[in-house]
Amino acid sequence: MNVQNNYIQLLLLASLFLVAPYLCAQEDTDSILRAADKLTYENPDKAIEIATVLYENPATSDKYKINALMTISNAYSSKRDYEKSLEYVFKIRSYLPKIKDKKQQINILNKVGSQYNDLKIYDKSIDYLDEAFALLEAYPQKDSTLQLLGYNYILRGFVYREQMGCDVALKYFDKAIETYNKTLHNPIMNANVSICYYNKGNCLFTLDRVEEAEQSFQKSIVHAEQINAQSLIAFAQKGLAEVKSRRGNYREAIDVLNSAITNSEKVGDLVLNRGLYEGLSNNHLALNDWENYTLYREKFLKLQNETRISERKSINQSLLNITIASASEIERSHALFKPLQIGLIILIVWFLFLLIRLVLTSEKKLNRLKKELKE
Amino acid sequence: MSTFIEKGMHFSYCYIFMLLFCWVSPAQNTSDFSEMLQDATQILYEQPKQSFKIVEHIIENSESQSEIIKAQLLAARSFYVRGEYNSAVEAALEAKKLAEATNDLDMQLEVNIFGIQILSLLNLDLAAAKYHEFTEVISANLKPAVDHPYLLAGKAFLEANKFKEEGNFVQALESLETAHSIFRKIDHKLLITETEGAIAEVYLKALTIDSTNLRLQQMLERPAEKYSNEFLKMVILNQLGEVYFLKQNYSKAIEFYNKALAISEKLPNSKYKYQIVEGLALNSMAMEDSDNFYAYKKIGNVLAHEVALDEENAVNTVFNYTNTNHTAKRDQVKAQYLRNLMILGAILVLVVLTWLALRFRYNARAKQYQDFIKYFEKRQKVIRDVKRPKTEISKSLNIPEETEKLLIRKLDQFENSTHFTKQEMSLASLASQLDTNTKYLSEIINTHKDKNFNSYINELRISYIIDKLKSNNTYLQYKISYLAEESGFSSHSSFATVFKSVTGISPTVFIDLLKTKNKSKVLESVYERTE
Repeated sequence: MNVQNNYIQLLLLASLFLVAPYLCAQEDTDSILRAADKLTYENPDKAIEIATVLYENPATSDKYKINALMTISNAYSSKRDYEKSLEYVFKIRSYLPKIKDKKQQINILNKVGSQYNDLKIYDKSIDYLDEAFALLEAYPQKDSTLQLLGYNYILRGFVYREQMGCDVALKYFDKAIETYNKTLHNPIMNANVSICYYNKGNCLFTLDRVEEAEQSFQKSIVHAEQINAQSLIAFAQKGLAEVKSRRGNYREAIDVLNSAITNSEKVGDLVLNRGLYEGLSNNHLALNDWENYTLYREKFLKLQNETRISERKSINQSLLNITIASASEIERSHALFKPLQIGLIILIVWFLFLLIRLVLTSEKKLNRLKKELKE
Repeated sequence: MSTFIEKGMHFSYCYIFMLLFCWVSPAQNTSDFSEMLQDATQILYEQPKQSFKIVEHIIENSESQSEIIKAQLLAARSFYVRGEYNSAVEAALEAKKLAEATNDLDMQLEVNIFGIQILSLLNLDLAAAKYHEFTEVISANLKPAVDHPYLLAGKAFLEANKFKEEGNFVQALESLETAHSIFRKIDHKLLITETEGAIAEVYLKALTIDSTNLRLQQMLERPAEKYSNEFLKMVILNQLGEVYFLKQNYSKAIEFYNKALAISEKLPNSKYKYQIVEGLALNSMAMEDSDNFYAYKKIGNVLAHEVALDEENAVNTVFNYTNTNHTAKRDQVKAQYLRNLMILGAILVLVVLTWLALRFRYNARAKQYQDFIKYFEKRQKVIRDVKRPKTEISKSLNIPEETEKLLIRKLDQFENSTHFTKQEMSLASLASQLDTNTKYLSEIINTHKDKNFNSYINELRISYIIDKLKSNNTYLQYKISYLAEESGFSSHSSFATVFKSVTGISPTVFIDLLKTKNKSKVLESVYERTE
C-alpha cells in the first residue's frame, strides 16, 4: 500500500515539475489553480468549485481551462466519482481540435494519459500516450519537444510497472532519463531526471539488482541537489537507505535516513515521512535498539493511521453527501407533491360533495315533480 | 496439520458427492436446505470455499426467502474468512436487499450487524454509523420499548471502533466484550467467533504483554470441539507472534507466525497473510537477517497491493451501492408521487364528468316532468274552458250563429266519442261526418280550440291514450306500436313524436313513470296493511 502511495505522490510531483515551465504567464490563474490542486484531497468539493469558476470564466485562456478541467477531474477521482472524473477527461479531450499548437496538443494527450493512469485504466492511458508519441515523432523540431517526450516515457514507465512489472518499466525509465538529460541546459529539468532515477532505483531494488539500484539512487540525489529539491533528495535517500540495510549496513542506513528526515521534515510530506520512519524503525530493530525501534515504529504507525484516515475521509464524506443529497431531494419531492396531492384530494372531495348534493336535490326535485304528476 | 487437511479433503469429497446427489434428486425439501445451512456454518471457519459451494447451491435452488438470505449472509462470511472484502460486501449487500424486502426484523438486524462489521473493517465508519441509525429507525417503528440484542451489539461495535480510532483501546476492549456477552446470551456462534477475533486483536493494545499472552493462550487452549475454528486460531496465533516479538523471543514468535501463516495459506486469506508476513519480516530484521526480511517484504508488497486493491474495490462497491440505492429510492418516491397524482387526477376527472353528466340528465328529466306537468295543467284548463261554452263570435268568416253553436255541440260530442282514433280521420271526413264543409270546421277549430285541425286531432288522440293508460293498468303492458294503432296513429314513430311534442316526454318514459307510480302505490298499500 505504501509503495502504491509513493508512486502516486511522485507522479504528482513529477507532473508539477514538468508542468512548471508552461505555467509562467498568468500568475493569478496559476496560484488559484495551485490552491485548488492542494485542496484536491483535503476538500475536493472546494477544489471543484474553485476550478469550475476558473473554467467558466470567459477570460481564462484555453490552456488554463484545460488545467482547471484537470483539477476538477482529479478532485472527482479523489471523491471516487470516477464517472465524473472521466467526464472531465473527455472535456479535456474535446479541447484538442481547438488547439492549433502541436506542442499543446501533445501536452494535453500526455495529461489525459496520466489521468487514465491515475484512474487505473491502463490500456486507455497507453492509447493516449501512443497518440502523443505519434505527434512527437511527426514534430519537426525535436529539440523543443524533449521535455514532452521525457514525460511521455516516464508515464509509460509508471503504467507498464503496474501492468507488466519492473522489467518492462525500466526500459522506459532509461529512455526518459536519456531524453531529459538533453534538456539539462534548463536547471529545473534536474528534478525530472532525479525523479526518473528514483523510480528506476526502486524498480532495480525490487528486481534485487542492489548495486545498480544504489547507483541510481545516488544519481537521483546528485540531480536533486543541483536544484536543491529537498523532498526529492529525501526520496532518493530513502531508497539509498534501503539498499544499505539490504546489505546489512544498518548503522549507515540510519545515518542516511536521519539526514533524509531533516530534509523531508521541512517539506512535510506525509507519505515520504511515513516511509522514512518505517525505515528508521526497522533499522533500529536490526541493531536491537528497542527504544528507538519503538519510537519510530509508533511515529510510523501514527502516520499510517493518519493517511488511512485521510484517504477514507473523502469517501466517507461523499457517502454522507450522497445520503444527504438524496434525503433532501426526497424532502423536496415531499414538499412539492404532498400539497399537490392534498389539493387534488380536496378537489375530489369537493366534487364528490357536489355530486352527492346534486343527486340528493335532484332526486328530491324529481320526486316532487312525480308527486305533482300523480295529481 | 496433515491429518487436518486430509480430514478437510474427506469433507469436501463428501460434500461434492452430496451436492451431486442433491442435484439428481428432484424432490428437495426445506429440511435438506436447513441442514445444509447448518453444515455450511459448521465448516465456515475451516473450509470457507466448501462452505461457499454449499451455500451457492442453496441460493440457486432454495425457494425459501429466509434460507436464501441466510445463505447470502454465509456467503459474505465465507468471503470475509478468505479476506475477500469486495465479494463479502457484494454478498452482504445482496443479503441486505433481500432482507429488506421481507418483514423479518430479526433477519434484517442480523444482516445489518454483519454490515456494520464489514463497513468498519473498510474504515467506512460514517457509513457504518448511518447504517446503524437506519437499523434503529426500522426497529423503533416496530418495537419502541424493547432494545433488540443486535441493536445493542451494533452500538457496542460502533463504540469500539470509535475508541479504536481515538487510540482508547481499553474502552474499545470493554465495548467489544459487551458485544461478546450479548452474542453469548443469544448464542450466535458466528458472531461470537467474529467478536472474539476482534477482541484478540485489541488485547495487545489494551493490556500488558503478559496478560495479553495469558488471555490469548487461554483462548487458544479452550476445548477443541467448542471452537474448532481455524480462522480464529489464525487470528490468535498472529497476535501471539506479535506478543513474543515484543517479548523479544523471536524464535518463538516465528514459530507462532509460521503456524498462523500455514492457516492463512490454507483458507486462504491474503489479508492476514500480509499481516503475518509483515510480522515475520520484522522478526527477521530483529534477527539481523536482511535476506529474509526483504524476501518477506517482497511477498508482503505483492499482498499489500492485492489487499489494497480488494479493499478499494469493496469501498467502490459500497459507494456504488449507496449511490444507486439512494438514487433508486429518490426515483421511487418521485414515481410513487407521480402515480398517485395520475390516479387522483383520473379520479377527479371522472368525478367531474359524472357530476356534469348527472346534472345534465337530471335537468333534462326535470324539464321533461315539468313539460308534462305543464301539459296536464293545460289539459285541465282546456277541460275547464270547455265547460264554460264560448260565446264569442268569429269575425273572419260569416258563420251563422245557429250553425256555429250546432257545430260546437257536435264537436263536443266528437271529443267524447272515440271517432278521432280512426286512422283515416281527416278534415274532410270529419266535416262530412258533422254535416258541414271543411272551411267552417277549420274556422271553428281555429277560433274555439286555438289550434289547427291536425293538432286538434293529435291532442285528442294523445289525451285519449293517456286516459286509457292511467285508468287501465293492462294498457301499461302493451307495446308502443299497439298504443299507436289504438290511438289512431299510422306508425309507431309518428305516435312517439307527436306524444313527445304534446306532453314533453316520450311515451316510454310516461309508461315507466306510471309503472313506478303504481308500484309505489302497491308498496304504500302494503305498508298500510302491515301497519
